[in-house]
Amino acid sequence: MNVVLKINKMTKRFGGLIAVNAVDIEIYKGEIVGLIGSNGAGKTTLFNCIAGYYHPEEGKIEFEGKNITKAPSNLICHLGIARTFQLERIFKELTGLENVLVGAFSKFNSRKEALKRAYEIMKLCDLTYLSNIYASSLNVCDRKRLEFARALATDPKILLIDEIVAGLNPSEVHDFVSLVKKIRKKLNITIIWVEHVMEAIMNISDRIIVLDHGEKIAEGTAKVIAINEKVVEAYLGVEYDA
Amino acid sequence: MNNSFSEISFHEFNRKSILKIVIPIALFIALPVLVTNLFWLHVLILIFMYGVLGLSWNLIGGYTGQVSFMQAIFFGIGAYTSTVLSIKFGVNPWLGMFVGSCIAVIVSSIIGIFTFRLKGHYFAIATLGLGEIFGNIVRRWDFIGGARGLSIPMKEAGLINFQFDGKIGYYYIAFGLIVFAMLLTYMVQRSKLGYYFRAIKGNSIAAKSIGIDVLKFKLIAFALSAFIAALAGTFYAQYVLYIDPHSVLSNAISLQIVFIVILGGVGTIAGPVTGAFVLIVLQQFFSACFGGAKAIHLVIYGVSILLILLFEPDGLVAIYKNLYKKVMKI
Repeated sequence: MNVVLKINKMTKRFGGLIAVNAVDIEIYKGEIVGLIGSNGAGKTTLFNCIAGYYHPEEGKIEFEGKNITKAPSNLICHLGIARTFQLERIFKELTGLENVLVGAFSKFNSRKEALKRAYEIMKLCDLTYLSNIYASSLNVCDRKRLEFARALATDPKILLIDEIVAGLNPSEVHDFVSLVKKIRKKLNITIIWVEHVMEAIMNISDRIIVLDHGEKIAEGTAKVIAINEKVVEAYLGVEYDA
Repeated sequence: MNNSFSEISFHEFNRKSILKIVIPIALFIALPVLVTNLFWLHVLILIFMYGVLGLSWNLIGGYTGQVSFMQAIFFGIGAYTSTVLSIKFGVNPWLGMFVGSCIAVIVSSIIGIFTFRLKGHYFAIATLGLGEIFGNIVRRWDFIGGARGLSIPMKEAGLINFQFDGKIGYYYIAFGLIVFAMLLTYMVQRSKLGYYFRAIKGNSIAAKSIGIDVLKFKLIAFALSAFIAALAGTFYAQYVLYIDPHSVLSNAISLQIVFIVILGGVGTIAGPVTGAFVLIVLQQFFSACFGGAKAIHLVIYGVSILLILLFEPDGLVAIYKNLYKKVMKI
């Protein structure tokens, strides 16, 4: 299998606090990797380092063989890594379609082509009903779906999803999981997904990585992770039954 | 697919919208035939000029969301460049206008590289300070007239010399400028550029995450804004034939430009034009009525801005749009 993203002994500190400590991760092409861990385990920091929002103090991040450790986030997007945010950052003054259109402009200069692409993505995500609605009037679920579509419009090879189903109700979670499955199949992209909602993440991930206090404590399929002693102790709790 | 694609309500050109543009343009071209009163022509010229300045600020402040209080710097650069070149080196004002705009673009980029690191209020404060600094530099710079300012000698009237007998020549040039500024804004608004500007205004972190080089596009918006403001500066110099730091470089002008856009409607094409119309008419009316108490129009500005912020933060254009919708329903 091809390694698309290789994180090598990456460390990120905030002053005296070590948020991510010498983490090694390899991501293979086309897989869905779940990233779990308790609050403050370093999941979002790891994401922010991959996406170029933070730059790690030590270690190296390689994407398709290119060193992207110090690259700014706009460049990383052009290389092919897109992301969504834990707290959605949608463009409120734009309509649904325009939000996705802005994403599509990263691949097309002409308005016509970008519009066509944006519409395709909206259709793929079943979001066409949001086309003419201003994002400021959308609910959380629709905003998150729209942000997801906007990230997809940049035509990524890897998509980083940060707690996208947090705060959604069970049927919305279910819809989202099937949407991600569909997208993966259609667009053939690799997905790294941070999530606390176990029903979602255990269900969809090919592989799960567990972080605790900035260190990687386990890695494997959902079944293996669910009975891993360290993970149960640090995060899942003894009650959880896969 | 095709059917649902056409549902997207983007304003594409059609016959109706062309008429909406052609009829007003024809009206304004014909207007000097009807309006021969010099005062009213003067008011119209001022409306056009402040409309251009409002449109120029709108690009950086309205679309890109970088609230800058130094539009007068670029206005002043335009006025001073063409005037100094014409007086000291005998350069034609039209060429001076172009050179002035280019210098404004360069200055905006230098200022932008340093100040765009600042966010929100801090950026606004920095621009206020810079506006003051520019005014003071020019006041102390004797080569370009210092605090006394510069008078442009009268030349043979005509398009080539950018000087006219009466006001009609200036009227058409000012009108040409505002049409150019509106057209440019329209083109920007529909293009990748305009969407990137609005994305930066909406959320710069999200904008970066979808591949937008935020600093680069802020600089582009600033450069476009400076370019247009400088055009208006040269126009002003040639119209009044006298410039000094107070009349073209004061912070009061910068503030007035921002007022105009906020009053009319931020991030729209009609907004700055509407704002310029209302404010200039009010200003002229009050200074005509209260002659000596000239500052009364400033009170009116304050009150009108307050009312707008309280009742319709999206500006006069939004009020008009809401009314239009209601009327259409009936």
